[in-house]
Order: sequence, then C-alpha cells, then structure tokens
Amino acid sequence: MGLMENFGRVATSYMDEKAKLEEAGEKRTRTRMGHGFWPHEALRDTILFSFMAAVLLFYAWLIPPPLHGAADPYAQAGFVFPDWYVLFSYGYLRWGEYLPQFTVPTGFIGDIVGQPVFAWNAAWWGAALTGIPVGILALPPFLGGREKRPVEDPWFAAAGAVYLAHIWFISVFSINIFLELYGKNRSDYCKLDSHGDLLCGTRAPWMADIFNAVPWILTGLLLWIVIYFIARNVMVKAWGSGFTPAHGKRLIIGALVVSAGASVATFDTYDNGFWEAGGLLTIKGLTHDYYPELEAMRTQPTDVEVHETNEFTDDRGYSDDGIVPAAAWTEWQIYQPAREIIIDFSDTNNHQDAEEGINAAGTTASFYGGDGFVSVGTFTVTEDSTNFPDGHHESIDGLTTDVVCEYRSSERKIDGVNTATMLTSSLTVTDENGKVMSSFSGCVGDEITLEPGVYNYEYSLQASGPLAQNNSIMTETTFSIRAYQPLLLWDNNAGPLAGTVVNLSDTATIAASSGTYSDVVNPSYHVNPKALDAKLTYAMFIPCLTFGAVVFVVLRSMARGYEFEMNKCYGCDLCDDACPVRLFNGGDKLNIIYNSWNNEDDGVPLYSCLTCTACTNACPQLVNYDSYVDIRRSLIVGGLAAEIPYMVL
Amino acid sequence: MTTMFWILWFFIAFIIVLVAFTLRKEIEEMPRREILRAVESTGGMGVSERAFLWVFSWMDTRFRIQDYWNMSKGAYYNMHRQMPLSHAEKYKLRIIWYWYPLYCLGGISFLSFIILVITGTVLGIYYVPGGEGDPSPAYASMEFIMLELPFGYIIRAVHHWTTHFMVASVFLHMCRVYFTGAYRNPRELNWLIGVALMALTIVFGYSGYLLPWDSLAYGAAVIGINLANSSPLVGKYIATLLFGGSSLTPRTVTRMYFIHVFILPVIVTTLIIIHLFIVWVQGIAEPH
Repeated sequence: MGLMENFGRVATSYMDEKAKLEEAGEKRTRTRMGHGFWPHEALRDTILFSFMAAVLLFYAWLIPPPLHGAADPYAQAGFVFPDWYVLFSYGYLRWGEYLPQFTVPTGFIGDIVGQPVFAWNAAWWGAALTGIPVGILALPPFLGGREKRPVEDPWFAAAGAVYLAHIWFISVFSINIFLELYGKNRSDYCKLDSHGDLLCGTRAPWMADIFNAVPWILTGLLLWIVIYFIARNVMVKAWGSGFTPAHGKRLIIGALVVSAGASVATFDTYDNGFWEAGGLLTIKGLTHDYYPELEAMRTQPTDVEVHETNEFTDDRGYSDDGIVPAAAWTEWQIYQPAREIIIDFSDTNNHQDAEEGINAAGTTASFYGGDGFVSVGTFTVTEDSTNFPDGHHESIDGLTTDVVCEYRSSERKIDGVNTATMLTSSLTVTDENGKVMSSFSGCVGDEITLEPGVYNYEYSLQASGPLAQNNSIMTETTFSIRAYQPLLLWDNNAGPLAGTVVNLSDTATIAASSGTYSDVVNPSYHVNPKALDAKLTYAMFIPCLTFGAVVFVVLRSMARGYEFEMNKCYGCDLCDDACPVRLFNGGDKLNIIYNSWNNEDDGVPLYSCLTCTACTNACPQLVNYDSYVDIRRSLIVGGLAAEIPYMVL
Repeated sequence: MTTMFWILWFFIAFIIVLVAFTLRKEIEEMPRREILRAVESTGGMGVSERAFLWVFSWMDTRFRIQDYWNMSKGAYYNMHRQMPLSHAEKYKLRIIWYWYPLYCLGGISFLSFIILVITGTVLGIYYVPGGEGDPSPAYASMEFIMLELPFGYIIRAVHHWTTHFMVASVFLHMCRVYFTGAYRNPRELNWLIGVALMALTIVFGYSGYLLPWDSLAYGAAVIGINLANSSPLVGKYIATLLFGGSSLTPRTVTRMYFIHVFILPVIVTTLIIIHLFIVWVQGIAEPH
C-alpha cells in the first residue's frame, strides 16, 4: 500500500509542477470552434455511410460470393486460391518450393516435443518468409528519429516504395503460376478464375512480350539512376561547385544512353537464357536436372500444347501454330485441374461407351463390411471413323487413355485408424496377349497410350481388419478406363473455321478451305516456359529497387525546392532578430525566410538581403537561408540555365 | 390456459402496486415534485422539454447523475467545442490540401468494421458451426443462407465485399501513415497497434474464408494447417491451437468459428477503441 501511495504522491507533484510550467509559459490558444454534431457531422456521416452502403450493395449484386461444393477430404485437391490480400504469403509458399530444402536436428528439445528432426520444407519457407514483411512493419517507429516528412527523408519513402513493389511482385508471382500472364507466343489463352470457372479470350502476342520485358525495363531504369548518381558524386568531388546543372543535364543523357545500351545488349540473354544463367535463386543447384521436378510441382492447368501434323518447333520448344483457340476449349470441355490429361471428359463426340466396352470401361459399386468388389472384363479401343477416316492415324502412336479408380468408406476412421488403410485395391490392364499395359495398386491412377485393339482389365478392392468385420460400414468405389480421341482443329489460317473441330468426312469443306488443321495428339496442359519463372523470381528483387530509386529522385527534387527547409521553421524568430537589414530599416517584415514561411513573401526582401549568413548561423534548425537567397537570385537572373550550386542532398 | 391468464394479471397488478409504493416512498423522501415545479416555473417548457425533465429528474434521484452531468458538460466545452489548434494551424504551415482525401481511409476501415459486425451478427444467427457429416451442418446452413433465407445471399455478399473494403482501406491507411511520416514521434505506439490490427484483420479474413466449409475453404484450410504444422518444434501445438488438431477434423470449423466471432472481435474491438482514443488524444498528423 505504501508503494501505491508513493506513486500517487509522485503523480500529484508531477501534475503540480507541470501546471506551474504551463501557466508560466504562453497558454495554447483555443480559438477555432468545432463543427456541431447536429446537423453537420450527422449529415456528413449519413451521406458517407449511404454512399458506401450503395457501393457495397452494388458489388453484392454484381459479384455475389460463390459457394462451392461441400468440403470433401477424399476429393482431389482442386483449385485453391487465396483472397488477394494473402497472395503475398501464397507467393512465398510457392517460392519456397524453389528454395533449398533440408532437415535440421533439434537435439534434446526435439526429444521433449517429439520432433527429433525438423524438416525445413516449402511450407516453413512460406511461413518464415511471410513473417519478414509483417515483422518489418514494426520497425519504422524505432528507426526514424524525430518527426520528419517524407520529403525531408527520401530514404524512408524510397524504402516504402521498395516494400510495396516487392509485395506486388510476390503476389504476381503467386498467381502467375496459374494465369500465364507472361505467357509468350500465344494468341489465345484460357485461365481459371478464383471460382474455378474457365475464362477464355484472346491476347495479342505483343502484350505478352511487354509483360515479359517489364522486369528488364525496370532494371534499365535502375541502372540509369544509379549510373547518374555515382557519376554525379564523382564529378562533384572532383569539380566542387564548378559542376553545374548544365553538366548535370548532360550527365543525365549520358547515363540514359549507357543504361539503355546495356539493357538492349543484354536483353536477349535475359529473354532466352535467364533460366540457364541461374536467375536469382531460381533453381536449386543451378542444374537442368531440376526442371522435371519443378514442372511436376505445377499441376495447375495453364495452356494447351499443340503439335502440328508437320511438326515445327523452335529451339526452345515453342510452336507458333496450332494453338487451341478459346472456342475449342469450351466446346470440348477441356478442363480438369490437377491432371495433365484434358480432353472431352463429357464425351462430347460420343465415341465412348462404357456399357458396350467401346473406348471405355468402368462402373460404380458399393459393398458392406468385408464383401469386397471384383470386376473383370474387356474393352476395345477404336479410332473414330467419322472424324478420323482410315489412314489418318499414321502420325499417332495410339489413343491417350486414363486409368483411374477411387474408393471411400462411410466412416473415415475406426478406433482412430483411417479406413483407407484397411482397403487394398489393384487395377490391371492387359492386351490380348497378356502383356501388362498398366498395373497399379492404391488407386494412384495412370495414363497410358493404347493402339486400337481389344484389352482386358481387372479391378479388385478388398477390405481387411476392423473394416471387414463391421457390416454396417459401406464402402463405395468407382473405376473408369477411358480412351480419348485426339482433337483435330482448324488453325488460325482457316478463317471463320479457325478453332472448330475438323470433320474429315466432310471433304467439301476441306477442299474449299485454304487453311490447315492441327492434330492435338496429347492435349496436356502446357507448363510455364522455364525462363519465365526465373524472370518472375528476379522481378521480386532488383526491379523493386527501381521503384524506390524513382521515389527517391522525385522527393529529392522536391527537397531541393526548399519547401521542406521552410517547414522546419517553428517560428522562434531568431533569424529575424539577427538580420541586420531588418534591424535597421526593415521594420517588421523583412527577413525573407520568416516572411516566406508566414506566406508574406512579396519578393521585396530578396533584394535587400546582404547574404551575410547571420540568419543561417542563428537558426536552431540549421536551415541554410542564405543559399536559398542565392538560388532565388540566380534563378531570376539566369532563368532555367541558372547555375545553382548543389547544396541539398 | 385461463389459470395462466389470471396469474399474468395478478403479476401485473403486483408490479403496479410495487411501483406505486416505490413512487410514494420517493415522494416522501425526495422533494422531486417541488424541484420539477420550480424548473417548470422558469417557463419555455414544451411537451418534449417536460418529458425530458421528468426522465432526467427520475434518473437523477436514483443515480445522482448531476455530478456526471457537470463533468461531461465541462469536458464537452473544454475538449470538443473548442478544438485545439492543429500543428499546421499553430505554426502557420502550408498544408498539402490534396492529401486530405487520404485521411478518410482509417474512417472507412472503421465503418467497414461496423458493417461487418452488423451483417456478421445476422449471418451468425443462421450459421451452424459444425463440420461433422456430409454435407456438414456448416455447409448446409450456408446453402440455407444462400438459397432459402430471404435476403440471405445479399447479406453474405455485403459481408464478403465489406471484408475486401476493410482490408484494402487498412492497407492504404497504412501506406498513407507511412508516406506522410505520421508513425513517428509521438505516434509510435499507435503505429504498432495499427500493425497488430492489420495482422488481425488478415486473420479475420482467413478464418472467415474457412467458415463456409466448401471445397475452396477446405483447400485453404489444408494450406493453412500445413503452414502451421511446418513451424519448428511448436508446429503441432500451433496447429492444434488454431485448427483443433494437427490434421483437419470437423472440429476445425468450430474452432475457426469461435476465433472468428468471439476471440478476434473482442481483441480487435478493444484495439480499435485504444487506437481511436490515441488518435483523439494526440490529434491527426496533418500533411505539411
């Protein structure tokens, strides 16, 4: 209790002393009346609220939030896409897949918490890297010192710009893996929106080229600024005040020429060879061996790769012709996330008949307890005689065939053990001679290429353990084998037919058309061009600095206008007291700085000033007043060509 | 039924008698009627003034609000009606007037928060935080809100869009504060509170994202729990704390619901009050 009483006594005496000091000093004036709550503030708030409610209702009507299918732990992971404000974290997660992954022994602490080895994986990279930009936000108050405006402290504003640019580019990185924003050599594209809908359209190739070039253009800009400032510093050191703005302007142009030349000269290396050159932490170990692993990680759909009948690809594997246009995508229902095979899943061309065993087989079944399920049969793989008359398939090895199965029980767990572990499955496809075409267990799925002919299949699913003894638990299973006819599409030269399905039996149309058609042998999703990932990763770092540099340059020029120097002034009046001109004949309104700051600069004092530097020496804020007078006079005499000594920054 | 009817009337009569005795006792002890008469004799008393006077005196005789009344009157005239000169006014600084529109961003995020509380309360009446079964009660209740409840989908849509408004305005508000240097002395503490509020806003958004428990929410939950699990040493404890287990279970929905509608609102509301109070005390850093 004694301590609390002491605290009270201390606080009371503090308040007394403070009251004494405040009474001694000038009392802070209170003259301005606030606005009344009624009607001013109430009306204003009502208007603002109504406006915002109207905007919200408009968006609610325009784009209502989606409700997707119910959560299903057994379903294949679909298209997951975070809201825009966590894209940066998602970007770090994706980037983490590119970074080295290793394990760290955790010692005795690990033994206590039951984690003897900590796996530093992509998820932890994502979580840890997310913490950096969030943690940095706590630092600014402790780095800045006294209160400053950004124009006084261009470094802080520049740092903020770099930060925002980095967040922007990491967000672009995270979504670009799906959107192919930078996709090159493609006139048509399809993309998935956040609701899982497929949107198709046309994009001019030059757009992709521009997007591709953005990081390098930004780099060139940074190079320009850096070269200019380094050279300027060198020149100022060497020549002192003899280095004039006229020299500075020549230096700006010189730096521009050098940086533009360097950027143009290196553009081809950037555009084509960045990946091979290693990018910036883009590839683990900087080896080509890592590509397949990287590409396997990207299972999201992006684009369709199409080979022409007369196949032509450039040295990087691009093919300019035979891109599947938007109309064909929607017409053929080409969409399945997380799988590489995509064609005619709705059997649009009616070439599959699972009942008759033509190009397809499969069924859905269920059983209780340990009954199990076995299905044995045959199916035929045929070529579609309508769209593909005899002899057309010379260039095709066979039909792409998906072999998939899945199973689930009505109870996920029995006594804490997952029921999936109590089921064993096997699915085997053999040809007529007994040669095994595909065989797997655990329903991992397979994609095979089958020539026309007759094939046998055997699918079995058996329950064991507690699941087999519990007859109240139902197990459902489905399996399907589907051979897909290749797509034959008119290409871009075919005029109005472009993008539509070719019917080879319609000889009249084929004869009349000047265009050619392309054969989609294996219409799988095309992955990002390899060099693209390197560019995107690169964009997260160096080009961000450009934004900071630009902000720095802009603010620096503002600072050189002396506006901020004026605002350092807090009206102590010492310069006014020290000014000899003002003392003798200036009356109350002579000191140029004090009057400028009071918005009373009529220009007259500019010519009465002796530039004696008395005000500068008197100033507690270290405002360099006399150089301001010098600069103003130079500008008036010399105009734009005035030679101003570089004083600020 | 009739018995209930009579009991109800007896109860009402009992209350009336009780109130009558109370009023009589009050008349004996407090000369309230005399004060009322004295005030009314000053004239200018319309019906509304009389009603206000009656309520005011009734409150005063019970809670002695005269002290609080004087105190709040003094505070009102000292602090509110007479605004202190702002920094820019006091030192006649040239303010940058075109920056002022950016000063409404904090207010917009606060307004968004209020709209979120209102629409969220309505949604909370119909939402069932259960993840057990297929489809889960959570998902079934979301279907009910979206398809059957009158105005249900529009309330959810407003809740959804207000989230985006709030996050966007919080981000832009932070940018404004940073680029005007307003986080510096003496406003460091408020900046830190603001950073905490921003992080909590994002957690708000994420936990709300999971509540429909549709396929998208499940996918997002998988990513979230993987991130939580990946933390060194404490991974599974963090996952259990946030997601109700080191793997996704039906409990996850309930856990997220509790975080979304109880824990976060309590923390965020408290922090917002402190945040605004500090702004009120310290004043706004004007652009100059």
